[in-house]
Amino acid sequence: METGSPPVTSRTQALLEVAAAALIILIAGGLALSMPWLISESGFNPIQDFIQLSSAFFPRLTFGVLAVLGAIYLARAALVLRASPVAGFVWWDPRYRNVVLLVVLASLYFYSMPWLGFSVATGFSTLALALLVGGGIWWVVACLALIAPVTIRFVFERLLLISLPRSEFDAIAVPEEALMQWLVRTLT
Amino acid sequence: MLDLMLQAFHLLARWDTYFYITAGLIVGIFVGAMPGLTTVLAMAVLLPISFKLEPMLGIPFLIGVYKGGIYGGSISAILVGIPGTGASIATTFDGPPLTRKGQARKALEMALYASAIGDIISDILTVFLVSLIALVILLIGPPEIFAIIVFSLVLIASVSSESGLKGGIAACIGLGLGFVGTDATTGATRMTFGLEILSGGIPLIPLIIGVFALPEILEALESRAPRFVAQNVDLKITGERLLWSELRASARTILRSTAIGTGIGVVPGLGQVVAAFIGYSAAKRASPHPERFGKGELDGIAAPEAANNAVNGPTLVPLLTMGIPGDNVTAILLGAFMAHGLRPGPQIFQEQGALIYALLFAIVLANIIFLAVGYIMLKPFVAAIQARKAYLIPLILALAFVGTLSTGSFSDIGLMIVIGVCAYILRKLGFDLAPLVIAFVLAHPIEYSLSQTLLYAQGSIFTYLFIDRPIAAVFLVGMLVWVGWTAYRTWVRPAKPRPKQ
Repeated sequence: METGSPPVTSRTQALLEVAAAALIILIAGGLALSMPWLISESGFNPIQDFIQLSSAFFPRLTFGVLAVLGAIYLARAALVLRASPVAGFVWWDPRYRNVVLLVVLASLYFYSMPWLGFSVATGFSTLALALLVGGGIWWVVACLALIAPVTIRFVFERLLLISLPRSEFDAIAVPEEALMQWLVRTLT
Repeated sequence: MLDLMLQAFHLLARWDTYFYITAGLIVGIFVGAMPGLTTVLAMAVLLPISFKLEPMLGIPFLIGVYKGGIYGGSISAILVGIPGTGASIATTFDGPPLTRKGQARKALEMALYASAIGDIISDILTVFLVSLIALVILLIGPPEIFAIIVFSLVLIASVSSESGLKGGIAACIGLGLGFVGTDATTGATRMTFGLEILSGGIPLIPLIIGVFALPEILEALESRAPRFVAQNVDLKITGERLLWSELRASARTILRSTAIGTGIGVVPGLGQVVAAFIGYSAAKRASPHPERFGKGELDGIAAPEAANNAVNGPTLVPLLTMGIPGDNVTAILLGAFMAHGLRPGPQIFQEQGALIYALLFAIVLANIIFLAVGYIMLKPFVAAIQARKAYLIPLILALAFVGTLSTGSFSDIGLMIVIGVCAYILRKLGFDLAPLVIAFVLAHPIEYSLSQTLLYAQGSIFTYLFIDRPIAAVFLVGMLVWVGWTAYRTWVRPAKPRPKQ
């Protein structure tokens, strides 16, 4: 769908909205108040005629408005929270298990890429994600984990010139480079 | 202008533009047909590809994805009653009843022809509209630009979410993120917290992929079902082909919906979903047999499909003439334009007129390819509805990472993941994030135009804006009236729910 899916329960949703509104007020209010200290004047002299607005004006205005909108949001969310039944609260919805695992997996994929290189890290991530999602045929997943990283690397690195990370280990980087060069010779 | 148009035709005389349009259409229809994956996701992930191609290849490629995706959503809407994209929700009213009657083929062909006709007419109107506005656009200056941006942002924020409040919050977050980095006017660095990575500002690509792609991947994983469409359905395209007489009988509906879609497309923030619903209800009101709607009426397919596709072209009018993206798709297209060194706005017709006209003509011609691709490849697209998540999600994640790496900075992936997780949480709280991205790309233009306005005003800003510059005054007063009306409707006199019929 184009927009987010509906909330889990009204009580949980209301509590989350109160927390989000409080966080918005805290961050936006804090940034609006501390804006002059968050600016490092290192460019033109701000007293020149052609500069009518200080660098702090718009960010301060934006975060000030955001803090006010956050306060209205908090008031509305607090009213909803008061009206929602206490029994409707759930601490943890199991359908978010895969969501959390994907975030962990994506972070591992990100951190492993400089060590293992793009192709191997993508191969592992493909296998792990397919296992996480489930429902795939094992040999198709295995083929995908082998072919997809090589294909993506070839298309994006060799044809579109987007450089992708190489492994720190020669045992991985050298054969991968040889494979890419062979593909370049064969296909282009 | 004729000279520019002749040059544009010259730029169009290359086969690879049509190859990339076809590729974009195939990807777009494929992704659009899968419920759970959206056109915006495909565009966000594929945006970096367009950077590496020439503008005459990369931008038509993205437009192909956009056009194809909007139509693709109708395939699953008709066959299984699940809209592939929000734009095809109204198609689910009459699509599944037609499928149950054994007229799936008629419904799919009607959706294809209505989409293509709506798109072609609205794209031709877009070329005329853009040409007309381009003639007068140089008469407006920074005060008008400032007023139009403020008006558009308020409009987009107020109509985007379930409540205008959340849209306003999303827009302010986007503006705030847009101010991070070096201020182009003074050279000062803002909100970098001493981090070198932020001194150039938050890059657009990780933001777009983080906001539009990662939350969709996470939402797709909420359900344990191995496919996007969980139930076992018969996806055979059954029944007779659409007859010429049936298409001709729906001509009036298609033209009406095209007019509705074109009008809605020009207004920032409304988009395909609104157009499809208005097109559908207008067709039902005008029909001599309104009781047939919702029970398998071909006009019930033609109306929303013509209306939602007719929005595609006109959304480019505010983007190209004023640099204001009206929705998330045009925000992504703005990113593509900027990556090619093209800054949409009043000056673009002076600087790159021939290229812009060539792109507009390519958009019109893309509809003919769209018709052919949609007709020939209908069966493979139908099969896409039941694609397995285990094969698609890993590929989309890898493409999201590669797309982010196109900025040349590895740490941008980390930024993309953080933005994506925050965007997912905001979506779960009912925020529409289109205003966030639109406000982000408009942060610098709004600041720059106000700075110049203050310089011209020489101290008397209100007199200057509201008396000396009438066009700016119209937009600012319009914005104030709109805010007042929205606040009145939301808090003072909320609309009472209608009794169920």
